Amino acid sequence: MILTMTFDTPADKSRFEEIYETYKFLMMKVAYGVLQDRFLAEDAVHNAFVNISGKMAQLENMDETGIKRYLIVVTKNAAIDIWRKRKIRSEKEVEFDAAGEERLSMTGTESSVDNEILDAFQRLPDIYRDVFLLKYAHCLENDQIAGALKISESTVRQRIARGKVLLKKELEELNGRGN
Amino acid sequence: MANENLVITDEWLYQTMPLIDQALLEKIEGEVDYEYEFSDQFERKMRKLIVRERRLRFWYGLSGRTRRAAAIAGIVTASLLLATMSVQAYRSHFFETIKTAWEDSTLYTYLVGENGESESDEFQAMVPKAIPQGYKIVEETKGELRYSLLYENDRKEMLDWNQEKVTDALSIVMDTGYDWERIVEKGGRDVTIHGYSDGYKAVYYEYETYIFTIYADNVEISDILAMLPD
Repeated sequence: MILTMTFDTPADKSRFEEIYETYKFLMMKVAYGVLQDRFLAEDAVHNAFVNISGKMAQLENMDETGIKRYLIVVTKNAAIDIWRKRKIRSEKEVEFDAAGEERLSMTGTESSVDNEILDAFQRLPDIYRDVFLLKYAHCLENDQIAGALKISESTVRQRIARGKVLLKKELEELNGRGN
Repeated sequence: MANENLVITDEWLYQTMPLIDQALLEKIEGEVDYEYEFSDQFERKMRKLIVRERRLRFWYGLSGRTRRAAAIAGIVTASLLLATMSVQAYRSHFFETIKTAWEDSTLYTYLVGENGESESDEFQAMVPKAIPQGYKIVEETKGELRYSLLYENDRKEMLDWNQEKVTDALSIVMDTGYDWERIVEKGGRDVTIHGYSDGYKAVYYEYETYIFTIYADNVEISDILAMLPD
């Protein structure tokens, strides 16, 4: 017996495909910043998309900035995974400029954020910065952050708590230096 | 920010972090190379992933009853995609395989019934029985249900070995843009090999409670067969 069934399915590009075409260059820049090798960086971008393909629902309600930040974090994580497996550079080097987010001078930028706060934030280790940005800039829940970073929710909570202490310390130090 | 009684509150962070993020994103985006040409290997892997995501979204968008009916019935037409999807089901000793053929890919999904459970649920990672000459391992990934090994030779040709435990949630997509297909027997089981004009090969093999897939830039069929368990 042969039965024919008809379904309505979207003929347009999938959201996943749109994200791929729009942000693959940004993700490549992030991955290359960690790995300094174009083929390994491509592997990292691919692995990041494998991770994202199972979590597309999370991106549905995000604005463009939120999507960019999410992709940057997932890509950076994928790149660091590859780096750890291959051990091609020292951990210290990865900590610095992991996503091309090296110390950013506010001179010449249009951002309205206080220079001192930005400076203090950038002194935080990468692991705290990513969690802070996903949670407080893009309102992701702890379980969503855990999924993006492939860590447990309790680790997310610890990083938030510890990150606040570190940020306070950095701000106090900068402020003390300025006085 | 005042130094006195400094408290990092959630409210302050919710106000401040979006501004910090915007500044950081502006910096990164200014350094992105939009002219970068991705390698053919990357584009091929991504095309495969995009097709897989699209197919799975559609397939799992159907109700379980519809999927079962499609598996039994034979042909499904996705009208707006103008795509015909033929569905074939077959049963191995441990599980039932639903093979859904689209115009550009084949989706494998699985039904593991109570009678089809393996004697041991423990995942047993298997390495290739033999490795083609000149290949060295560059990456090993071990998960609860998946084991993969990546090999590379001196000519930078890659060999990707994947072993996955069959579950109801497992899905595998094989591209059908190949130039030839060969089905070879190994220990009484079928090994499906898809070949491309540039030497690239994709392999699908069901063994006990596992699916093995191999993707290789340039290996002989005899090497592939020597790798697989029987």
